[in-house]
Amino acid sequence: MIGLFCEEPMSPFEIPGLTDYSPSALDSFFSAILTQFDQEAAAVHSTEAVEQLRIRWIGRKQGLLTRVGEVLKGAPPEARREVGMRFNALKFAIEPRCDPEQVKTSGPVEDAIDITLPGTRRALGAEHPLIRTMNEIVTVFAAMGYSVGLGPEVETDYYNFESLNFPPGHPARDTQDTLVITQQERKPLRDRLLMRTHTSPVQIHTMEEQPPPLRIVIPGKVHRNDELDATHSPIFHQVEGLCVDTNITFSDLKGTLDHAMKAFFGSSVKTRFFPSFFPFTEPSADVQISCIFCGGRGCRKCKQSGWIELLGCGMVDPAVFAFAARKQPAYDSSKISGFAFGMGVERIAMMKYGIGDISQLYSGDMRFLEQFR
Amino acid sequence: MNILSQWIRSYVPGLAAADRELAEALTLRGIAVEGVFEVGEVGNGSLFEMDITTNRVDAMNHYGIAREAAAIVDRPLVSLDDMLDDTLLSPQSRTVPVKVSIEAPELCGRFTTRALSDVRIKPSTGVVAERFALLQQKLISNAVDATNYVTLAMGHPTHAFDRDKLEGGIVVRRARSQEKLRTLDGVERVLDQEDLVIADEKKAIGLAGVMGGWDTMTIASNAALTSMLRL
Repeated sequence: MIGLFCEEPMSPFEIPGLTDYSPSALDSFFSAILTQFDQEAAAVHSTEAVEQLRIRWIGRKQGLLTRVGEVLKGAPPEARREVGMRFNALKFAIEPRCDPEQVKTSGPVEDAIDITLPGTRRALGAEHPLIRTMNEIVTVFAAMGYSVGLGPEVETDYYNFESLNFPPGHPARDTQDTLVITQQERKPLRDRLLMRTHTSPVQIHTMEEQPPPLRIVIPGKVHRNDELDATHSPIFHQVEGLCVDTNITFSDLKGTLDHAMKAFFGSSVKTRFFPSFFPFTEPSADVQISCIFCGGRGCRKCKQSGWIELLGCGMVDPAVFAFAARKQPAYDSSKISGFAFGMGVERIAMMKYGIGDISQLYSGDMRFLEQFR
Repeated sequence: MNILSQWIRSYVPGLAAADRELAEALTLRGIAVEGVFEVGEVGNGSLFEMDITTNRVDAMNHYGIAREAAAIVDRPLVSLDDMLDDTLLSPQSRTVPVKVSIEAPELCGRFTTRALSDVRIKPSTGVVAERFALLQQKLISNAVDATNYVTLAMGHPTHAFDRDKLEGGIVVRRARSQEKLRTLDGVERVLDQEDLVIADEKKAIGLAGVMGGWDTMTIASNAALTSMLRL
């Protein structure tokens, strides 16, 4: 079958008959037709010739493809599908090249390859400054035995607020301008969906899934109904941490965060803790680090104070353990204790890389991103 | 929230620390002063820009912060048991009863009122006008400014109603579904049963603790009624 029509290339081409519809027989049948077409198409250089080619191959009455279709009609039912697919592929290969418009616009093409051209260089991508900062923070805590926890961005009111000791109607809810999902009014409050306003719901998810001891660090995206300005964005990132074990004290919290800040910003950085408030920790603290730009002497970046506020933290409120204990009774606040902390990734990245406008982080502007190679 | 250091000092006469020291001391104890700005002429003290966390609603007013300052420096706090000088009142005012009924005790534990008659509505003067100017708080009239002054001083929502426009006594209740109230900002609001309203026997006259109603506002009347609400 292979030398089907080699004996006389110039003779008028006839579509061969077909009795065997096995895949190999079909292969040679179709490749023979395509080879013939290729030869004829290669010799065509004028619009009139293309027209002739079109009539000869896909003309409605006498076209060779019509003849191919007739030959294939004899295929047994089990081979029909296979035959049909190949016939369509052949049509696709032939039809565009019989279109005078197509041939005219593309013109004769020189297909030769200039082997002296340099290769196509693919630009190496770079980690986005936010992802990089997030990874660096996670790495610091991973080295202290923390594993990574993740959770959904669409949360229920229960996980985002209630189980974190924000009771319904508590004014602390108002401090986090929440984006809520529409048409949830018929559900009970705790089941209503919203975009998580912090990564803290993952604390509850994780505690519900595994008993203490626990050490997790939670990087993630959070959403708030804030206007975009130089330092605020409605979507931003946090890294949150949670450590639960027996005999965890505030000293452990201070030591952990002091070490983390030194690992992240350099060993000369100092930390200090202020009383603050978060519903899910008691006592709560804000953490400041000595200004990384002036070393604490006072400069424009730290508003002459010598300190920069960076973290929120505190000892896990027993009320939060009580919510977790509904699924994991081991979170018994008379036996275990823990601390939690959280920080904004954008703020740290902007400080570290000297970025003045938060929106640059989301712009996708290559001139900005290329600087982080 | 903005706080005047001179106002705090008026409650803690023994407070010797300079404004910036006071701001730092408060911040270190969780009453965060975010900014300290000189205001007005020399001697007027500073304006503290506060960022009070929601667990310290008690410190979201001047007296609350003064209480904290007094504890820090261990000096006495002036007590606020001011009594209205009865001799200033017309005999009629002393005897006007106001009927108050609380129909939503789960939302309002106590509601107090004081009826005043023959009040002349005019611009505020004296310490109220001075402090409002330093705080850039809008001056409206003596009756309204008095209620705002109490809120700034003690964090207590109070409101002055024009008694001539009230129909019967005061009722503290949940709003009815779809009940309408035009508030002082001129906005017509549609309320639901989650909202607590101050009402008279016919209609809502204020959104409790939030804003008064347009129709009962004190403009140039000669009769006013002040009320206080404890949630």
